[in-house]
Amino acid sequence: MSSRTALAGYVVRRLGMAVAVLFTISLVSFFLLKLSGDLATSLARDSSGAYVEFLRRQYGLDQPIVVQYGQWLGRAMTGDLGTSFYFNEPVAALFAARLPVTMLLSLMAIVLALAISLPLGILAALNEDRLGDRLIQLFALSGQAMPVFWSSYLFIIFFALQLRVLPISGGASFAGLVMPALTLALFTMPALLRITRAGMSDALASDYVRTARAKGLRWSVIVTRHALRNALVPLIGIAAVQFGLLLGGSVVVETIFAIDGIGYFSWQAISQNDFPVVQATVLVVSAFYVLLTLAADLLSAWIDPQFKLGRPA
Amino acid sequence: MKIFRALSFALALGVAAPALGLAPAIASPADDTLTAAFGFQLPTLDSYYAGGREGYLLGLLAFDALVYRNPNTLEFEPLLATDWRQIDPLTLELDLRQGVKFHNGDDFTAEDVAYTIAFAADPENKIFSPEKVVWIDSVEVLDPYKIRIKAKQVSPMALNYLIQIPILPARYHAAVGKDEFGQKPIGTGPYLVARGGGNTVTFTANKDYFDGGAKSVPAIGTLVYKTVPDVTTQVAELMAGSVDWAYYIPNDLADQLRLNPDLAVTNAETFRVGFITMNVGNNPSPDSPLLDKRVRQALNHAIDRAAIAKALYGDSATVINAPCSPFQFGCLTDLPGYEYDPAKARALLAEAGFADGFTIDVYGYRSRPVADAILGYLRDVGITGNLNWQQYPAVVKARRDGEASLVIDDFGSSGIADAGYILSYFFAGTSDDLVHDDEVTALVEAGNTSIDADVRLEAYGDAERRISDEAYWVPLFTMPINYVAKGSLDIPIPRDENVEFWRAAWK
Amino acid sequence: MTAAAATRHRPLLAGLGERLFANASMRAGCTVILVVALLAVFAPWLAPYSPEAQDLTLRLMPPPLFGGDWLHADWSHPLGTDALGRDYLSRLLYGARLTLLIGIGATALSSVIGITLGMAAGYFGGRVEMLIGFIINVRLSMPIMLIMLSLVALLGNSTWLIMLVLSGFLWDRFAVVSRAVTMQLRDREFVLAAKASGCGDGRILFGEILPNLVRPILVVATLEVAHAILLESALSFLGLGVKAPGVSWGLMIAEAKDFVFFQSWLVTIPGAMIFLLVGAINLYCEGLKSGDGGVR
Repeated sequence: MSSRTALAGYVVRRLGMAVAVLFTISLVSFFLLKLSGDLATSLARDSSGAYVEFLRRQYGLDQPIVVQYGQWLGRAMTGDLGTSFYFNEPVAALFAARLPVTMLLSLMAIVLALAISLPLGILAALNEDRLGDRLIQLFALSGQAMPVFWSSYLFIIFFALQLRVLPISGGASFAGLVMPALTLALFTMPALLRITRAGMSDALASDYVRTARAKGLRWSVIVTRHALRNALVPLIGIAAVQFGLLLGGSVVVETIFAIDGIGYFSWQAISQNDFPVVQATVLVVSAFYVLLTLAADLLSAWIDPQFKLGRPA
Repeated sequence: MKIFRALSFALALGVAAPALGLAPAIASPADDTLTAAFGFQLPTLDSYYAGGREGYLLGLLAFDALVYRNPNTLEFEPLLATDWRQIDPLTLELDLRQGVKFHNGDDFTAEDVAYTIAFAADPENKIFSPEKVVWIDSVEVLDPYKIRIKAKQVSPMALNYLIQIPILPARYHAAVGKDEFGQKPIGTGPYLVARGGGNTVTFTANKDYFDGGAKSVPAIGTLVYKTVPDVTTQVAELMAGSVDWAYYIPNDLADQLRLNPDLAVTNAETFRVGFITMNVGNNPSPDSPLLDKRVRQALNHAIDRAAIAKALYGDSATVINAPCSPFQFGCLTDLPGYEYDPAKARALLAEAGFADGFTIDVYGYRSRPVADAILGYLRDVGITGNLNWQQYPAVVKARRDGEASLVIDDFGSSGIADAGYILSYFFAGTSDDLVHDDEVTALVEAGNTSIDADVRLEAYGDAERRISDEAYWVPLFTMPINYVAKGSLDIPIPRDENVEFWRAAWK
Repeated sequence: MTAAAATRHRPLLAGLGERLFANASMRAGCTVILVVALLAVFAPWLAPYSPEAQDLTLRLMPPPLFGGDWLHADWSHPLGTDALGRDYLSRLLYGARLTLLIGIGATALSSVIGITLGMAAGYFGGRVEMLIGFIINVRLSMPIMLIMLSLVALLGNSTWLIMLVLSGFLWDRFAVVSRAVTMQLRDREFVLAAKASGCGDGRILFGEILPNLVRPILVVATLEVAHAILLESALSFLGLGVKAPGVSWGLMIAEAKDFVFFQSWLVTIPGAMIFLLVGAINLYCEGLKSGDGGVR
């Protein structure tokens, strides 16, 4: 079997998996929020029984659950994610308005985290088990051991109240995104740093690097061309996973820094019991994640000719 | 061990950073812009679909109602209506102001009033708080500047509702529809919406705002509504000078901000009162301790309300004994109430057969420190509170389903200065009535269906007395809030939370 | 043959002490963890007050060490008091209990889920593996924070629910790791020999394969304990964490959030404890990984 057909087969299987996962998540997100009980009564608050009945009809809550799911999925496929109870506007439009800032924030955080963890990871691998390595690992630890909201406030105190160089809140300006991105990067960096360090140290100990050294290739060339390329494969996967986590996980940071992105949006929706919004957020964030990991897997397969097909995501 | 040393160094750094002290804020120059921070987003710019305080505020800024309530005297004053009179117990006649124009140049007339009320009353339109229009039976346009509003039944709170009904421009609103209106709202109010959406909404002064009403052309040209959900961040912004005004700042933070020479902090009363509801009559479990009046009285005696109020809400907070705000019409301020006396509480519990105390479900959603303090006092008399901390809708649902034995709640009466509002909400047999005491319900009903002030005072007073005697609630205290503004900003403090930004000016 | 025999005859617990304290990182990490665990266990004897005893007249007392003249300071509350006048040292000691309980409990639960799924996938292969791979994929694709928040907001915040919800989301790494190891082992001679001698699948999985999973699982477990502690603190920050009268370090930070600018010790003290504990766990985990035979 040629590697081309093997790759094609892998791509097809991977796509099938992605579709199946998405379908399951749609089920989970639908029934999860059905748990929230009778929406009509929570919506109506201080209105009469007739108003409750009216709401029930209005939102199709009087239909059998399977029908409700079918209708919801059918509409979701065509981009209609329902209407927010709280905003009284189509969820898709609300979502589209908030996605860019979260995407930008997550992207900045990932780029920042990579910018920190790549050189440090390489440096740590080159100094394995020496003082430099230890210090770098300690730094990684600090990112992992600090609750995100604490580091957020420390950044506010330092950058905004003492140095007065950065605005505190608002995703409206680029400068306003620096602190939140930094906070998220600090949180994301340890995993990336560890993977880089591990990949590099494996690569440096491998036969082909030794051969390359024996051949008298320059050290910098060996590190960047050979070892790094090898370390990059797992890094892509982890970076994609982390990016996906950031998309759905920046609730705390978006709340503290007053960024009107989907993290804060969905947290607000949970607080307001805004059923269609939570549902849509879970679905869309998952879809992003599935697509990201799919892309990362395909990219890895393409970069690495010896890529083990069938590797878990 | 190197690692250990480095670790302790890093820790020391983390410990030291917040202790370094904060540089004082520098007041920004008055650039004819006022930036105000709010905890909640405006979900839309149509005040009929924006709930809560912020939605109400929007109605005041960009729109006008027929009647204005003075936030200091709480008297009704002319706004879009110049005068009004009760024709008969059901009918209110209003004269409308002439020469008022909407932001788009349309003239304001009686047609706009009729259109607005018809729109709001149509259940298809699903406005956020329908109770402000459901009492209206019909609107009759007598001439372009005179209307009659006919109520379905006697409605003593009619004017209180009218101040909550911002008038829409009939032609424009009908032409663009409610969805587009939410993006580009047009009113007669002192502010125009310049840019809106998301976390920042910019208002500009309406230079052509009409004279003679109770509102005026804003002194500051631009008002920025900035959403900052986290109150700690709001405080940071106030200290950094990037926000000029904020309210609902927790008392401990406000106390610290008082030390800042650039900021002015005011602790002021609101209509909001805190209380604990008890499930006495909403299908409680038959062995619920709350069915025993002595247990309910014990709960009232167990909690040091004054201490909680002072510690967590500041010096203006006062203990209440009636189930309403002392600033509301018809709210008794001389009820004796139950004094803090844990020994008496324990004795009452023992008398009721609960000498060893009991465990009970407590629900809460607003202030965790208040809830924790209350649970602490209850533990002292042997009652173990099992705290369910949930979002407001979930708590309401649990209460309506009869699952929530105790709810630590509070109520702002939508800013209505009438005890009838809060009594009707909690004691008139509705789904939030946990008592279903026929005598109380009848009294509240009697107060609600009379326009004779004395009849109403007596009916509500009797209802409040009975609620207190039976200890159906644990009334807690009024909940004043803290306003924080730049020292250089002159902005009046209202008694009803409805800040009049158009009166703000730089000193 | 010798390698296989050696693997096979490594008993579950023999030499555990040696394996648990193999290097400096592990010893340092372990010391901190042990101290915290001891503080947690003996909290009732060590704490000067009840963690719930409130006194609104003594609220927000700074720790004497922050007050400057600590020799003459009032040492009745060595770490000060919180917003309700509760002794901070006592809360910190009792807080260690729930923090560890949630961290370890959630991890233990998730390891059971993860190991079961992972071993089944690795051992049986084929359709079973595909199905489990699919479940893992679904789990990974779900925005954990959002679903956790929705669940806790809807169902209320009991300690058990928080643990359950956390463990429902933290099992994936256990599954991935145990699947990989099981796959490596399933065709090894000692497993084949056991099969040949008529051992059932259950016997092989638990008797032969599980003992070899201990070390890699321990690596994952230490990471997940830290993860669970941090997630719980995030839940508490959003008001959906541990409920009173329970107290955890995450809850303490969350309760003190409003005081981060002016009474910073209220955040710094529990924050430093979480940092120290999570740091120690990580340190231990690093040591475990760099030891011999570890699975990365």
